[in-house]
Amino acid sequence: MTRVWRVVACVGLLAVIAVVQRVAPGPAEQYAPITTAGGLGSQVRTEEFVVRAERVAFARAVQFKDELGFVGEPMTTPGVWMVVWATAAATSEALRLQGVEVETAEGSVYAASDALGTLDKVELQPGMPVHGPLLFEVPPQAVAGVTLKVFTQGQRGLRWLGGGTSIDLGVKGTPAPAPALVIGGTREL
Amino acid sequence: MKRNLAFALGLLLVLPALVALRVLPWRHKYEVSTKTASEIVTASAGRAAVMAGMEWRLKSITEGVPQQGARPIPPRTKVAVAVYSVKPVTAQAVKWFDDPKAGLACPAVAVDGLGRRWKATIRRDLVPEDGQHAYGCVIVKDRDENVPLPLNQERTIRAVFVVPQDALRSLGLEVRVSTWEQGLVRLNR
Amino acid sequence: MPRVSPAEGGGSRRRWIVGAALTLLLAVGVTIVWRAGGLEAAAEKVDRIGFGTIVEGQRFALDVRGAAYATVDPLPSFGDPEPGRFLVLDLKVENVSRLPATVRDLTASLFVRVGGYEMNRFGDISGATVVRDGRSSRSQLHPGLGESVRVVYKVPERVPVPERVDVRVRDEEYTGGFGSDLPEWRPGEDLAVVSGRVRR
Repeated sequence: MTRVWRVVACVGLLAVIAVVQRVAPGPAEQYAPITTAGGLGSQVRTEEFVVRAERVAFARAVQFKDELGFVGEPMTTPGVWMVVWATAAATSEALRLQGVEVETAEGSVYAASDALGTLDKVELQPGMPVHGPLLFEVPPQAVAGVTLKVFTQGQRGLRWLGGGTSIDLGVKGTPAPAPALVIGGTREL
Repeated sequence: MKRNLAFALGLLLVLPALVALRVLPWRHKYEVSTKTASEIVTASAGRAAVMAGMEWRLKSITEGVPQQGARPIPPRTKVAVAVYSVKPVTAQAVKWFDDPKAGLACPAVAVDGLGRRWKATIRRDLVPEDGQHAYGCVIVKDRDENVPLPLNQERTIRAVFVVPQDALRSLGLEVRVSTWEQGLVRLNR
Repeated sequence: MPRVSPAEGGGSRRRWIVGAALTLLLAVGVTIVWRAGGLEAAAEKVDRIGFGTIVEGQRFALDVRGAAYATVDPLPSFGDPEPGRFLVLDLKVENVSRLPATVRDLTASLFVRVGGYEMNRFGDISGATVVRDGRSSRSQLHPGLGESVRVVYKVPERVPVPERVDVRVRDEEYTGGFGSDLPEWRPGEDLAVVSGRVRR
């Protein structure tokens, strides 16, 4: 009888091991960046920077306007442009927000556009907030429920266990993009 | 019983060893990425700090008035003009200044009471030049030659910072002295 | 209940030890072979296809639309285009993964061969870009958004003017590896060899 119980206990333990293996977080989850959550309009603070996403707009094409008022050539996209106006400042040391992306509800990640003149290209100084646009190219049908992720590292491999933000941009449904949007560059507040 | 005890003791040793094996490479990565200094020397107001055979001293930090016609500085910021000095007090230190290939570097950052740091601005239009101070600890004469700095002779260096106005009162300097080691000199006011 | 003599008891213990050791050895062996990928099916022979066929992997779906030979740099980085010997590949590319990618990530998995010479995937590329709005400064490939991509290779002097080109497309997998359990893009299997004529 004891032998039967031993076998049962062994099988039971093996089953428990299998379940634990299955539900235990993988390495990517264990080492994932530690993000601070927030919403549109709220100030989200990490150890390295403070950021506030203020407004979101969609357009088929975008044009940059420089300090002198000159408007550049339109830039198109196979999806839609998502423009997020935000304000950010460094907390204690100068830095650039090099890893800015949006993540869709399904888990697809869109890196901020490499176009120049956006908030993620300027060097942020402690105590000197800068306001400006963040640009993303996204498929219009996938933007409901997107979150804005901001990191100081551009490379994913350097973000493990670092700080970051996860901001719900409050986008619902499929957006109706404007045909074109003229956007100004960054400015110090 | 004895065997169990040995086993438990073994586990006590093996587990921390395994954890250390996984954590230590990350710690090294962290130290490399944050460029942690191997030596830190702090000098209070008016006193000198000695690092790598060089004597460092903060002379003054004053508010600078932007010149007429200079590009405006960000709102609610001030210009801080820091003057500090370096004096080689060993023969080896003299060599560091004389030999361009030695690779001596000593950039200064401004630090306020909250621990916020600002790099010196490269803008030359903010404060008029007075011709009395150097821009860095090393003065390059031409490609293969530096302006020498004899033993026990002082060289004053000026650095200009743009900082939030609330930071000006508590501002001090932090000089990173790179010889074959990384040292940090903190010059408080 | 049969009685077990001390001698028999020792024999059974030995059998247990031998059995356990064998099981352990087998488990270690299987683990090593498994980690080395030895239990996966052998790679099938790679398809040879022509231009205009979509090759889909885990990171990109691409379609080589054509290849051309040029004697002036079609993607000059700045200033006037310089003369030289260039192979131009035009592709339609879609990032089918969930993560951002760049044209550089794409060209790193393309092995281009002309006249018996395999182009260096990094050193022989003189320009690679997303072609959009008549500009050649964009390099991002966003998930689910198809783009036209142009890659320009420098053809070395010793290689004859190419008549045909073979593009071997290698897949990429987002997975952990031997060095680290953390996932990153790692080389996968060859997906196809796309062959076609080089236009003049």
